[in-house]
Amino acid sequence: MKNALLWIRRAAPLAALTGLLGLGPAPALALEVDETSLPRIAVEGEFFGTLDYTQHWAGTADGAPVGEDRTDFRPNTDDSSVTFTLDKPLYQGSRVGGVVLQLGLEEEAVVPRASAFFGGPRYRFQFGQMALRNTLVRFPTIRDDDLLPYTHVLNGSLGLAGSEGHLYGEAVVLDYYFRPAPWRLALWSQERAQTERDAASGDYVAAESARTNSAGLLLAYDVPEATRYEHRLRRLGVLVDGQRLERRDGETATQQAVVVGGVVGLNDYPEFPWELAFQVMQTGGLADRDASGAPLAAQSEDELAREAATAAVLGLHYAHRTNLQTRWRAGLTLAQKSFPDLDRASQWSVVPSFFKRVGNGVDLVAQAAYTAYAEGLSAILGRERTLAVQVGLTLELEGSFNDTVVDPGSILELEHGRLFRGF
Amino acid sequence: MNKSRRSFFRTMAAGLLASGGVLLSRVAGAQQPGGAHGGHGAAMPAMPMAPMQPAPPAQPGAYAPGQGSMMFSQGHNMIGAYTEPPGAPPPDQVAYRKFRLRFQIAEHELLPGVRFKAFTFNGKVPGPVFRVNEGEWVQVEATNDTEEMHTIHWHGLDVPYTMDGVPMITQDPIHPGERFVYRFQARPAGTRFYHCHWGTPLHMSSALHGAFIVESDRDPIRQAFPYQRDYVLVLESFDLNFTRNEMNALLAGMKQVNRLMTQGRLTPQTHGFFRTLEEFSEAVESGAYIPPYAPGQAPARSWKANFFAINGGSYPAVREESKLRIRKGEWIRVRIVNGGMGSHHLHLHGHQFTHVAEDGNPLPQPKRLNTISVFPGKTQDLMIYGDNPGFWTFHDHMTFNATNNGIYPGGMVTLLSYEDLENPPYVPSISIIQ
Repeated sequence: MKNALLWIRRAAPLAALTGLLGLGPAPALALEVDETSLPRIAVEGEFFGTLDYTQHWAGTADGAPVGEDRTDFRPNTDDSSVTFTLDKPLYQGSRVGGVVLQLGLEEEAVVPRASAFFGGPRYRFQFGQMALRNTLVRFPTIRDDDLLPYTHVLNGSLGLAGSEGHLYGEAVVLDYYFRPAPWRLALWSQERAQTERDAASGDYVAAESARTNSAGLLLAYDVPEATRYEHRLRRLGVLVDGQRLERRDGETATQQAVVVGGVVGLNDYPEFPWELAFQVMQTGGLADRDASGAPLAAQSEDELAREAATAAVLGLHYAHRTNLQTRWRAGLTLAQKSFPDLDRASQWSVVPSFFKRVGNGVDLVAQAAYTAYAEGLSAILGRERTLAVQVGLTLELEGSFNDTVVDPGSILELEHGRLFRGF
Repeated sequence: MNKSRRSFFRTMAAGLLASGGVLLSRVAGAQQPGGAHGGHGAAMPAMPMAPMQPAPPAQPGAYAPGQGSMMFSQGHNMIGAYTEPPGAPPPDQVAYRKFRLRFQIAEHELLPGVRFKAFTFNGKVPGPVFRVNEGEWVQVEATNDTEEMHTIHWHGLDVPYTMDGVPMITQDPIHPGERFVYRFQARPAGTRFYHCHWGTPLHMSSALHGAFIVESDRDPIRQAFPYQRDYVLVLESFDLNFTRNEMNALLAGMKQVNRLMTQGRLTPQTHGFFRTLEEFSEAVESGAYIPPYAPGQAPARSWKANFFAINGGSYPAVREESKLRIRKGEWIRVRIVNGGMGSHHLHLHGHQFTHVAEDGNPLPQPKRLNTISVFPGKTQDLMIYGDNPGFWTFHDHMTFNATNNGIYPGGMVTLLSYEDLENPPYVPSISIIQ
């Protein structure tokens, strides 16, 4: 991922958020009877270190070559991050307030998430910089964004290369949990990153007057991790997203997207589980026009995010967990996307992945992603086929300090708590 | 097992039959646990009593006496089993006094503002107090209402080894839904206790412990110190965050284990069971089994108690049964059980008490003290003589244990109060933070 500056600018509200929740030093409270106490500090992290070999084959358009064959080889630590969640139980009932701070470990320091939240057993209100609600299912690839064009509702306001602007944004989100039933309703308003052309250089730069430009809702059936083998249907959801986009004729229009997805257990055998994940995404497109009102088709990869499209992804995942200890995992993900308003524009990918556990949370990983583009897309992208091979190491970490917070989604609360009585 | 112990088992039933008349008359006259016993004044939580349910049909794959652990039987499933282990006389040979205990997850309030979920006996913290007579035959049907496994160890009681409640040493753990029948003779007399011996750090420090009092008509302590009232104080220390996190992690893991068991697919290694050390070593060296305790494999768990209680109550929420009451010129007996994982050093203000028993056994030479140490697994019996009227604190002098989450006063504190104190110049009230 690139373009960290865009995100650093948005981390500034963090100090205000921490002060608002009383998590930072506050001299006015010095004479309170209660001493200040540390919040729970939960740490989660994912570190990726892969050697990436990528081969692009030139495309053709009407029989003429487009682009050129190209080979890339580079070490890749993109998407590595560590996330700190600081929260505290509040005076009233089982309510919790806190902040989330994620540090991205890129070539530069980035802050993709800096948000505050407040919640109770059935709801959570969150605001700040956070992961966009634009996908439903995680597929068994090394990185969550390895199949970004297929899996996420793309940001139509973005003219930058890289994926941060498709994954993160400023948002206000309300989640409501129908506990103990595993249903969740989420509503949000988001400010996706917006760019504009610099008049002098013609390059894309961050827009000066960014504004809330999208909203959506999600209804999801999501079985808690602890009870996943009790259910064959482990996740099912529908997500509706609307983005206000500016057409090149200066008018604004709404691009809608609908995502349906889920995860099904093919067996209920915890030692050797097979799972199937699926997701279908329908994007309405912007029907872009120029100043004269003539239809404008996408001319670049970024502009494909404003085209009508249908994407489908299917992922098969197997985990070899002898003695309930993961030894290795394997995944196969198939994806297809087509652009009905573009001539002969479609693409498909096949991605086999393999994870060999060599230590607690440490996996050796290998993945090959092969993508083929039909001629209509090949002309836009300048490539006909791509093979990306990644080999490396991943590390997951999870832990907490001063763990004083009751998790309303835990087994003790769901199965032995008071959620049945209502709040 | 040595020869004399085997001989005891063989001859036990015959000997009991010979003394059956005496035994039956004792059982008939026995008090129900939970009530005042023989004029003793301390009111204890009532223990639910119910008729024993008939044994269900044998479960496929369930525990079979004499075969050793069923965990090594392929496709075994002990969920919902009914288990009557060997080692005690059958019910038609002796008259058992019958009790029921249920392993349950319950929410417990230590004091206003502090509630937590715990593994409990019968939903109580601590478990109910047993009061039986020495020599009585006791039957305890233990039912597991949780998704976790458990056992009951009768701490300080000389029971047949098959009733000792140590998983994989004397019995298989009691599985979810299983009913397991413990039968033994209550002996020797004294202050004993019981606790779960599976996952012991969590289960004991959660709340799976309780007092087991064996009375004797020939009790030398009663003869030396005539008393009418005795009190049972079960000392407890809790790390509520540890308890919550461990219970959540454990219950999540047990959902997988129980599912495998119902599928007939649970292997001994999945649950960490091996027949011998050699078998275990081979599994580790071959890489077939990754020991969960290996450095870097598991988070370094730590247990640091932040709440302390007597009989489930933290000061100022002192339970009625923990309030020591006395009159001038009266002897009272205090039985102290350390059912938790902390060490405690109880100090009584204004009195020199007599330390009369340790581990339930009378001391040959009682000692005059005002502070008594009660380490984990220990019981101590004190006699207090009413010779200094007033209101006197009885508290853990490991002073952090007399706090609530570090706020003094709290935790392990109770009072010795004189009932016949007329017009006291100062009466106690409550202080929450000092």
